[in-house]
Amino acid sequence: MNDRLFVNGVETRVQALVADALPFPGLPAAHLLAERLGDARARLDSDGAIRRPLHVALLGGTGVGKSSLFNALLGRPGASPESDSVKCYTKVPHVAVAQAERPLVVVPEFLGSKYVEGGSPGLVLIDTPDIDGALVENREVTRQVVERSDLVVYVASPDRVADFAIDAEVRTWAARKRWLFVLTMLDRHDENATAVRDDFDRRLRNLGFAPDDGTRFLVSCRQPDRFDFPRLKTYLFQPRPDEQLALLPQDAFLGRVADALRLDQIAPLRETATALRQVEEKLNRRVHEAYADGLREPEAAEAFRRVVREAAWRHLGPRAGWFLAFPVWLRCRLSAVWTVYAVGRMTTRGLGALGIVGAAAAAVTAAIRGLAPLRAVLNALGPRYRQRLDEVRADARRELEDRGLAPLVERAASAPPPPVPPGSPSSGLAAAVPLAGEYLDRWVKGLVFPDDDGVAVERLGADVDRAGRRTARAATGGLGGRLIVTLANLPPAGMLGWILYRLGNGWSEGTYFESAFYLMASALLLASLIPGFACLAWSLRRGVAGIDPPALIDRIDRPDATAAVRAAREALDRLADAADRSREAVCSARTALEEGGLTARGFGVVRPTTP
Amino acid sequence: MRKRADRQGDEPVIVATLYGPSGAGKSTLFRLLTGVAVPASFRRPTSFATVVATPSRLGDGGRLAGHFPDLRLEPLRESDVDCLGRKESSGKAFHIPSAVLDGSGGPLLVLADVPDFDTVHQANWATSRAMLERAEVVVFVTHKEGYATARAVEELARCCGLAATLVYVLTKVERPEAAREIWQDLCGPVAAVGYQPEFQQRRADGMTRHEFLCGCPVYYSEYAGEPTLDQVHPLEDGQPPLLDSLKGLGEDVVLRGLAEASWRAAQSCRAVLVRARNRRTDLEGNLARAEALVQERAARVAGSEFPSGRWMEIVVEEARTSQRTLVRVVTTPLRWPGPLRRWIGDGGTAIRNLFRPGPVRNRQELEGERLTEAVKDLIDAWRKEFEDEATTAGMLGGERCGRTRAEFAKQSPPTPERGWEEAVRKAVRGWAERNPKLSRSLPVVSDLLTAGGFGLLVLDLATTGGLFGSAVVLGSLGVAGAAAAGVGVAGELLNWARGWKLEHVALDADRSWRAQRTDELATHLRTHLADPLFQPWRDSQEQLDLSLIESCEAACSELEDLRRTV
Repeated sequence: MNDRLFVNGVETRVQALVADALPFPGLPAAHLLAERLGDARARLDSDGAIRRPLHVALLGGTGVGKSSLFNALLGRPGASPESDSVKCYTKVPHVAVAQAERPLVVVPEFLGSKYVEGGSPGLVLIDTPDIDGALVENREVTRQVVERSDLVVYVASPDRVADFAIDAEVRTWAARKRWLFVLTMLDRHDENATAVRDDFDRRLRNLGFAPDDGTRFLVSCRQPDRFDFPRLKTYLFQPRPDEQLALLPQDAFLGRVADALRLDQIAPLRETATALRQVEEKLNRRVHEAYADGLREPEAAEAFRRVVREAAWRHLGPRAGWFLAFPVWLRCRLSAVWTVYAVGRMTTRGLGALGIVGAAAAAVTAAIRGLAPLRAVLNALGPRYRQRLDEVRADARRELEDRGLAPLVERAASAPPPPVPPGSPSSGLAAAVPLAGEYLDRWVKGLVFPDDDGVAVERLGADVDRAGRRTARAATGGLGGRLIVTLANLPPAGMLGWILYRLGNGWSEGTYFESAFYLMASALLLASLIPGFACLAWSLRRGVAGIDPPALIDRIDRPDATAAVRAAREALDRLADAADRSREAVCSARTALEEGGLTARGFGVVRPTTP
Repeated sequence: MRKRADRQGDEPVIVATLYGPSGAGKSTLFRLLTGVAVPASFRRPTSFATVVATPSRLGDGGRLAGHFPDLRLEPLRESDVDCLGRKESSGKAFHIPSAVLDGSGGPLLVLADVPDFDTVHQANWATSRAMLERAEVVVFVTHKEGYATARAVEELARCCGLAATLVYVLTKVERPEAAREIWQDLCGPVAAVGYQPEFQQRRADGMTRHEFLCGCPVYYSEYAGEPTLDQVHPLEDGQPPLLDSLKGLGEDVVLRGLAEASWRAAQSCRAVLVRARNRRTDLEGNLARAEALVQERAARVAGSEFPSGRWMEIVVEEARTSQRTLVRVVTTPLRWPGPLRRWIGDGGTAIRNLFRPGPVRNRQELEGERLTEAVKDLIDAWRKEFEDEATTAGMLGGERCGRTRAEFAKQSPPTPERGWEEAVRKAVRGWAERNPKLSRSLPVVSDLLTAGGFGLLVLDLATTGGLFGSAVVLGSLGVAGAAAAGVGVAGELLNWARGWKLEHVALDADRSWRAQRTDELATHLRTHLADPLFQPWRDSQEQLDLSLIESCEAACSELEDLRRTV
């Protein structure tokens, strides 16, 4: 049987979540998430290997009768010394364990635990110091014990069921642990036992538990034969199969993960992502305004339209349909045709100085021709545009820094420039000259843009590419767009059908066509592409020329200047989504664990994992 | 200071409050002491409102309000009694006359039952604290299970610092010896060791809180299904019963209460004033650091420019004044092609811009860009220097900085004052007097060069890195009819000045330009950027007026003197 049958899926998710949360060390919620999940995994690794008895800790405020309950359960008065006067009496854990199982106790040695006789096989019962007393060090001792316990017995007295400090402590552990609830000193409230129980239940429900007679016990340690004491003792001391005990580390792991993924723990991530979305929208508007101001002159607007149209052509290929994809692809690479030809010629006829110079000249010409329109737009937009976009970048960086996302800013700063869109002239250069293309590309850019204009052009190129993508989508999307694409592809489809029909007929009749037939068929097929191509070109031109610059600018929905904010926001959204999905996975795993192994009584209740 | 003036000028009033954790039996004890049937049950918390039992003579709500200026007391009707245990009554305060409290002579005793200070219903904490601040006498009621909780001990320490008289009542003990053991534990390990700092603080009467606690009367009651007042016993023999003890309190309690409250108020006030002084010092230091950064950035911008063209113009203008009239008339036609040359020059610039825009800039444009860079850099420097403020809600939050920067961008940089020009003119006049031949020939050479299309002498405007910088920006033309030459560098300018023995004039001009422009730009940055951004600090600085702090300190001294008087 797989040792981690019930948590395998969750473990993988946890691993991924930790990796996703690590890039946000400045964000407390993410940092805490990574830390807690990492801790949960580490404990699963360390605990999973040991088959240990069920560890049960008694948790409660000072004077509620934890030690009395411990002694009464063991039937050994004084096993854990108690006082009817002085409180905060228990300062170290008192551990009752069967002699043979003592090496399996996981309570840390440095807590100075005292071991007492009377333990039952399969069970380690631990009396802890108080969690709300004047001696602060007691609390830390108790927390160490509770952390390592499988089942926590929350002990309260009727006078102290609503204590704030205890309530807060129980809340801290609620999602992580399995619980039993014991109300002591019932002998003092004999007549009002039902009302006292109801008050206790009300408090437990406020804590998120759903107490019932199976998990809530009203007892009097002075009268162990009365109330629910016998039932409690039976419940705790009943024998449990080893197979069930072996599942406890997995249960503890799920509890820890559930606690780390509580909605209130994840909420700050969502809030930050929402705030970043607002920041991004605001900054995007400023980017659009910068473009709008820069494109006020008709010449500038026309230059911008031109580059957007070219970018749209590059994105049209996959949307143009099976047949028209080819001419669209060819159109985008026209500028690189000469380079390809020159390189091809070198490969077939051998290397020559003239050939190399010719290929390089063709490549440089293609690159310059590809970049020149962007350069013209950049000039038209003017220095004020660049200044405003720099301000947007600075504001974006500061917004991220304000939220403790500075490492992301640094990462964005050191990231390579935005990728060159596929099919763009410069990348055509890289494609045409596979080995040296990248270097050549950079060299050409350095030649054309001697200072930091190169970066500005690349950023502008990314924005233009975005607008081009949207334009291509607009031209081929919707009912009208799809109709155009369909109609445009009909002639070549019909032509191909006719050619195939003729070929099929010929082959079936044993007629072999001459090469003229194939030439003619190819020419006709190519000719049949022309009407559709023209139709697409018309549609694209109308989609760019027919709209105002502001509408065109709106198509830059993911400007490069706000990329850092967007990246942070998307990463946070992904992290929060993954956390939500993991929470559901934990819920399912817990249910499976309950149904598959821990259904037997004696393991307490688990708080609903979704608060 | 405690608001407790007895405005009516009649009998003094002592307010005693029953204060303690939930389930201690405060309401039960209140019922036993006053006969007022407030609810006491096993539900936790039991009480949500304050009930004040008063002597019959004080039953008038108007008189009572004078003693509780911070409370809005309502008479307790029978129908209200049931509501006391419900959340709807949270924070309310009721009063009811109690014949038990009618004493003969002496101050009038008012007894208050308040909610707990330790349950999940945290609104109760504030309600009980309000009455604690008002009371001269605190009857601290706790059960044996709760006496050692952190919360109870903290509140006990608070009571020891506030009350003129403290009475400690331990309930639900099982045997008298247990009460004694608990009391010893409390005065020993718990208060003296566990909470030493709190209990070692001194009171107005000179005692530590721990000494005060150990000296207070202690009562205990055993657990009983039907409790009575007779079951409340003093821990020490010879002490009067609890009710008698409370009713027997003298006027000195009122005075001691007043002294304690005023002394404590003075101490609190002093702590606040120390913080205020420190804050003020911090603010001054921070604003000085912010200003230093402004000066530095302004100097950097001013140092990156020099109006070389204007300087040359001034030199030529001043030199021309020493020219003979005849020479001036003869050379006038040489300057006529100026406008034409300028037009050609502009055309050339436009052509050049097409190919490589940018390097040809005038000083204002360049300064605007440098200033924009400086603002960005300055904001980042401030955010780094004052990291705590660089948060979304902080003074230097990204959004706020962005808004302020946008407002700054709307302001034009200041026009340079004429002081620099005057200084340059004066220096050139001095040079002309020392070098009459050079000064007479300079305008002629200039005019000849202008006519020949060389603009070296009329270079306009900007050189990056100042006069001595290494980087160079080509100047645009447009002054005195210079053509599109536009080629000028700081080195050339300096070489040229050296040839005409104008080197010192140029160096002085550069120095005075830097000084003047730094001041002007610093003022611009301060007025339109630093001041709006650091306004919250300036407001705080104004509020933390030194004279106000000093007068408050004097008032504190007077309050502390009251202790000696009492």
